[in-house]
Amino acid sequence: MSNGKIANDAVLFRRITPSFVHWDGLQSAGIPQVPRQGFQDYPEQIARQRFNLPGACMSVAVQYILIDEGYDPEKLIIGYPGYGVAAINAGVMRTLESPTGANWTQGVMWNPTDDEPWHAVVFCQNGGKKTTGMQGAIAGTATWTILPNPPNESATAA
Amino acid sequence: MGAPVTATGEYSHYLNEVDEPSSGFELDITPTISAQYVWLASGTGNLVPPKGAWPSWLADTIDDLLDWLNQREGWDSYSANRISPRAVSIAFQFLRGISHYGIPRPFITGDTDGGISSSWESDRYSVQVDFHANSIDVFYWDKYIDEQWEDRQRRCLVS
Repeated sequence: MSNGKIANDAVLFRRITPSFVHWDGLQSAGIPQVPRQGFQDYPEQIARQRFNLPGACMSVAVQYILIDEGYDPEKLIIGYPGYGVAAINAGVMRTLESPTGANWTQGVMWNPTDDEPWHAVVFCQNGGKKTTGMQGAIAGTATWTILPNPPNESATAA
Repeated sequence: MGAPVTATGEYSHYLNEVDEPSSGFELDITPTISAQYVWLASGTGNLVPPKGAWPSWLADTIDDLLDWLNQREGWDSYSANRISPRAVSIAFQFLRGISHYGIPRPFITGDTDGGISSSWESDRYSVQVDFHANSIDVFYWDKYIDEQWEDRQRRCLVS
């Protein structure tokens, strides 16, 4: 990372609640799809108040910073039993487009906090909140790093 | 319009009455969609009359909606808003209305703004209808030809 900019090859982790997972729609090998609902932005007022950011965005954790700090993805679900962790790529976010080629590009910005120096945000370059289509496009590029589990079960590594 | 729907669990009452659930929330069921007049167009363009009986999944879906109503702020671990009772009311009215047409059970989740998301997935199609206090968002995707559209209806009165 140079000048605070997250590299295009950076892996970004997103914590996903099991309540977003459609457990009745499992893919082969019993692995659920990464749900598009897991890539929604914060309510705008939260983004402004909590992160002093100008608009809607979603939180992610930058893998190489997390590792540099001595942690692995399991760190992200401490206190969140059953949650999963999905991985996306910064460069893919920056070149995201719709099926018709419309610009769906996302910005990726490092936004460290005292408790989470690996914290970054992903936001629509065109402003506004991520549409359902954008969320689906992001989910389509995502892979599980830690599988969520149905309620009453603990999470398992992907 | 067929047998009344009875929700399972602690909310075993008819949701067409304003009631005081044990959580302390009051469900404001203000009908914004009259199911009597909601007819769907078939793929041939003809109107499809309702089938009449409530589907078996409707009671489970009501339970899903009520479970979401009870979620606390931050239920997604990222500061999601509490689910709006009005969004739940609108979702219920809509889903009850279309349930007469052989629609399969929707997958119900919350959205971070406090709305209710209902979705249907098949190998080919993905349809999502998001209910908010003052609007409904619709998303459609034909995966085979990668055709998508989505729209927001700000005034969701249908009669």
